[in-house]
Amino acid sequence: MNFVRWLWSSSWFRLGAAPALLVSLIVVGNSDKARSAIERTLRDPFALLDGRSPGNRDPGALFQTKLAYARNHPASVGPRQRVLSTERVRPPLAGGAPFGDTPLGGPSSTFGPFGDALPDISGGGPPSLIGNTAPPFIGGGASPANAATPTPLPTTSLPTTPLLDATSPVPEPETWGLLLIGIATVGATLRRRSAIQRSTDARTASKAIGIAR
Amino acid sequence: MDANRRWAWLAVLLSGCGPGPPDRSAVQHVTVAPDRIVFPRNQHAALLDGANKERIHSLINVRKRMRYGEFVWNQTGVLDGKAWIRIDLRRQLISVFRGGDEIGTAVILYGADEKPTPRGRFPILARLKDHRSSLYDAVMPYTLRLTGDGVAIHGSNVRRGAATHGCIGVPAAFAAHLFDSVHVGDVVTIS
Repeated sequence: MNFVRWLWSSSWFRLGAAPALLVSLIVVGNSDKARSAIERTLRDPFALLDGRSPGNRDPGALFQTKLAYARNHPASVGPRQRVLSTERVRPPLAGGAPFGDTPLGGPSSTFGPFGDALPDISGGGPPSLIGNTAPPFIGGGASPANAATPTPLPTTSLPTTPLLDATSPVPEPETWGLLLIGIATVGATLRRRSAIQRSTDARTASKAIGIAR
Repeated sequence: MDANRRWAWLAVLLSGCGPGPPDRSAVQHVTVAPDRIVFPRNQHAALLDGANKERIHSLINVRKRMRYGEFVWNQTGVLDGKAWIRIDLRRQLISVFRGGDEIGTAVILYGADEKPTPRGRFPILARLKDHRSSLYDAVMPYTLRLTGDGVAIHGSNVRRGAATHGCIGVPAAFAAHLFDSVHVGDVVTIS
């Protein structure tokens, strides 16, 4: 506003620049270009929206993240398991449980407890749990021809080097018992020897006293 | 001769030297005010989509390119009338009109390529101030439902790079103004 006042107070502006500006506006307003722009605007007023538009959307725009939905519908995430302090995500098992509805024998079953999907242990794992690929025993009089053959356990190749040493650093209870028995035997032997030695010394001393008498 | 008389003499001189008064019968003038661009009263109707037209009397004079999250709401001097909404997906803009005068505009979010926003003419089915999406378990303030399968205009975090599952997202403050200005049955044109 101060600039406008200063400008207007300048005699050179009032005498020269202002009339020139007025003339230029009259000339421009009546030019063909301006007239065609006005006609275009009258035909399509929404063309003026191009001046305010941010433009086309960037390709690959993502959905708005809805945290509640992602939290309540983890469809893309498989079962999660915590191993010590590391969280490991396993892919969901395709095709359901490996045995389906086939009943298994009780005492003669050669497999351990099952229920959750067995993990993929191609990289390792306790070798004592997995390894038997024989089909399960089907009791109840089912004939082999009619019996459903469940999907056998996947064949795994055991690692060539055992993950754990054959000799455990912690003694077994049997070892502890043997040690205690040995210690007891040694102690008993020492006690017996000392007792024999004491009796021998006493006899020798009494003989000496008898001779001296 | 003092300055005022010199100025008046120049005006008379220029009025005689200029190209003459413009031929008003050939060109209809568009009046550009600081806050509004006004079209002549006999302005022909603008095409909203393939078949529908509405007569535009004025647009808000937004003199710069709008950014995500920005909006303008100006209903000063606008007479009462029927409200209607035009959504331009290509330009990512929403325009709210009362009668033929634009009273609000904002940058929008719309459906991603996998979940596109439908185009066409939709009357507002319901106005829900504090709606929560049953499908996505998300808050949708100032919802204006457009279709039976969940497409609506609602307040959202409008930012660059984001898209919706089909709804039209507008800034929350703009959504509040819009919610108070429209009624059930008012038409929304998406093109």
